[in-house]
Amino acid sequence: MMDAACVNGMMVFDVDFVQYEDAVVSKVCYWLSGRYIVCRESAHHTFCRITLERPGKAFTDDDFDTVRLEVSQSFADFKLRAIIGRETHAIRNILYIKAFANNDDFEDYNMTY
Amino acid sequence: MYYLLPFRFHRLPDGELLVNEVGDFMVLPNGSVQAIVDRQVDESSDLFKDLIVNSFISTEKMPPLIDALATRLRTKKAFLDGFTALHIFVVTLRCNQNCTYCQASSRENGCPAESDMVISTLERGIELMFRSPSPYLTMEFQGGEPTLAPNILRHALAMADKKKEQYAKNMTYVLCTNCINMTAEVLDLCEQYQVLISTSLDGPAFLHNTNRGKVDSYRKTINGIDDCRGKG
Repeated sequence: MMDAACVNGMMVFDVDFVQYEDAVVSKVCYWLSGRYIVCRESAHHTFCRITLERPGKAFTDDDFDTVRLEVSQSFADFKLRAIIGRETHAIRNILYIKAFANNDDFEDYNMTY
Repeated sequence: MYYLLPFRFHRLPDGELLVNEVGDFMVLPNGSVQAIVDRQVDESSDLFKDLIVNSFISTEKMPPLIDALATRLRTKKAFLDGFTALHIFVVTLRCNQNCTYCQASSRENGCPAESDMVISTLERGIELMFRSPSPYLTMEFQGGEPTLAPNILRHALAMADKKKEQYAKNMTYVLCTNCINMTAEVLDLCEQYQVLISTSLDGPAFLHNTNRGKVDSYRKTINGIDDCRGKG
């Protein structure tokens, strides 16, 4: 996430796709959309511009830093989740296959109602 | 060097909650997940050992205990196979104790008409219970104190025991009681339907009586347990 700015009571920032893959940006936008109106523009093939608007209450200097911290933590967290997901994809599949494959115990229960 | 195992995390107000695939969890200081992912956890630290023991990381690409982990995962997801097996019926909100830790909305001197489960609701609940595809069902009676409503217990047990044949279910009945009102009627019901009795003491008499909000609760509970044992 690049430097954020407060423009007309909205928070505007650019996200570099080199640092954050598209899936991470999408998840962060979805996460933030519970509290803010999120507008995402594909400004360039290497970065996108995101605008956050708080319904009914413009950002002020007092709360701008708080929201900025929240946004940057969200990007960091979803990026970590993506790394964990990627690194553990194979072992997770193995774990689920070991847990549930070759299951001959399933029964077709007789539903009599 | 270590390998990550699958886990999720969530940021808390004062730390990070990590949960693995089988539900084991750890609450760690802020920045811990970043350190784990960046391979910054010192292998001689307690954190490293805790992460290994709780299956968040592994020193080998294929964790030695993956079979045990798979078994735990299978067990944890077993409900998907049979859906809900435990069905709890709160037959009354009336209670003869006044426990300090009670989570139920119990009423010490409640009127049965206002505090007991109505029969039509009970019957609807039993019908719903038998819709579960699980071949094994546990029907648990709670309250309030369920022994204060023996007529409802009798109706519930009779209906469930009849329907179990129709639905081909293996039933387990459990009565969660403080054992203070184990009357002959209640004990006969337990014997007739092989009802398991679940009860508890909070500790020695002074503690039990304080918790239950009654002077002689401990003695009455012991007597009730003795009566249950007398019935075998």
